[in-house]
This record gives sequence, structure tokens and C-alpha cells, in this order.
Amino acid sequence: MDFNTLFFGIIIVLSLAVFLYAGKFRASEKQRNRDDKINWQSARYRHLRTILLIMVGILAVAMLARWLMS
Amino acid sequence: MSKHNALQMFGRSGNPALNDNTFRNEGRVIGQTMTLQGTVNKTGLLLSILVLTAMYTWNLFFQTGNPAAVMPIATGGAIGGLILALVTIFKKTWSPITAPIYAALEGLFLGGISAIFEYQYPGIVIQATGLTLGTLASLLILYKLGIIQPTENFRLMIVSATMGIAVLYFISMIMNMFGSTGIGFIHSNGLFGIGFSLFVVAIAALNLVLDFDFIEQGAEMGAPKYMEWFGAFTLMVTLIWLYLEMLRLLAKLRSR
Repeated sequence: MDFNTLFFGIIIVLSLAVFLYAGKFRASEKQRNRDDKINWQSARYRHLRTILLIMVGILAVAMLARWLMS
Repeated sequence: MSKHNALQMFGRSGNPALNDNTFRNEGRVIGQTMTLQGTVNKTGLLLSILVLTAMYTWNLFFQTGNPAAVMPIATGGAIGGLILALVTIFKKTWSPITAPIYAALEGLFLGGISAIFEYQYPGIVIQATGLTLGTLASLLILYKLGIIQPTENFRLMIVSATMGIAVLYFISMIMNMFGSTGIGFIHSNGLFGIGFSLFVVAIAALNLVLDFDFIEQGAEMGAPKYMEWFGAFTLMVTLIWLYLEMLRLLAKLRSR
């Protein structure tokens, strides 16, 4: 096993352990008790889903056109 | 489809899953509600599914030594994953079914792409995986401790940058399809190209902070149980994007 594999392998194992352990705990009071938290219930960015759908639609048409041309 | 095209296709996903009236109409429910533990477990499960299917295309490439043997499966995985991602974004209640299928399809794609990168630059995949998961763990700790505090302005900045990157990739991909060289600096290994990749990696990483906040608030507000799958799905979307961008950045650095 070379150094690259060993070093990054340890990072992977440690990171997964940190994620699986720390992820289940609630965030600190400092994080939770703020007045400027994101309001995930607002529909402010709702239109982005539509834009994404349009982009995928254009992409599908372009792929079809390319396939027909070839 | 070239590997760059495939990467760009995924890059578009960015983080639109988190534009949201996500908790709207979900209400506070009695009984089974979303928990942090449940979301972490489901993320672990999705990661395991992804790795299992990735191993299939990875092994297929190294057995045949021929990119043409894996590209149809990898491309199918990328397109299927994109469709499943859209379905999940629009029908969150289906996420307990669509999220695992999404992970499986993306695994097929990532396994193929990763094998091709590994063949060209030995050792690159473990580096990209280590950096991606290292970023995940570091940002999670920074978020939990309240050192990074996502606000509406932070969200606006990250969403704007993500959409900008998505549009750039989209235009480049369309141009590539019709014979143009596309937007050159995106793929160049010059200073500008590497700078661009660093910027994209930073934006993808900061999307993780939005994911953490979304999951934390979902659990705090008592969102329905299926939102655990949706939370895990949003985290997967960002992680896959971050991994691909890490892979691209490392490849650019190694090719100099």
C-alpha cells in the first residue's frame, strides 16, 4: 500500500466516522438561536425548479436533434 | 458522450433541490417525524448503494480496459440519475423510492468515470474521495459549532453562483453537441481553468452548508418521515457534484 492510498484512506475513514457521529447531534445554540436563519418555507426560489426543467428540456431536444443529424 | 459532457451534465444539478417551499404543506405531523439520526442513516445507506453500483462499472472497465465498454452504462446512469433527480425534486413524497434508485444510477456513472480518470492518473480517485469526504466532515463541524452561519444573504449568494455555473455548463454542453469547442477555459489546465475549478469546488462545498441547515431545520420543525430521504438525497446531489469537481480539479493539476 503506497503513501497516497494510506493517507487518503485514513482521511476517508475518519471523515465518514465524523459525519456518522456528529451528524446525529443538533447544532449548537449559537447556530439555532439566531434571528437571521434561512426560512426554508418561503417560495422565494421556487422558479429555479422551472428553469432547471426548461434547461433539461432544451438539452433533451438538442440530444435528439444531434442523434437525428448523425 | 465525452467524459467532459457527462461531467457537465451532472454539474447542472447543483442544488436546485433546495430551492424551496419544501416544508410548505408538509406541516407538523404526529408520530413519525424527520430526525437527524434518520437522515444520517439514510445518507449512509445511499452512499453504500452508490459505492456498490460504482464497483460494477469500475470493475467492468478494468476487466475490459476499454472505455467503450462502460460508457453506455455510465451515460445511461447519468441520464437516468438526472431524470430521477428531477422526479425527486418535484415529488418529494416519492423520495423513499426514487432516492435509492438515483444513488444506484449515479453509482454506475461515477464508477465508469472514476475508472477512466484512474486509468489516466493513478491514485486520483482516492484523493478526490478523501478531499470530498474531508470537506463534508469539516463543514459539518463548522456548521454544528455555529462557526458558519447560513443566512438568507448567504443562500442568495450560493444559489446565484450555482445557477451561474449551471448555465455556463449548459451553454458549453449545447455548443459541444453541435461541433463547437465550447467554452474553452472551463476545461483548460491553465491558471484560469484551475482558478475556475477552484471556484466551482468552493461553491459546491458551500452548498453542503445549505444542505445541513435544511436538514437541521426540517428535523427541528418536525417534518414528515419521508423528508429524511429527501434530506439524504439533497446531500447526495451535492456530494456527487463536489466529487466530480474535485476529480476535474485534480486532473487539471496532474495534467500540467
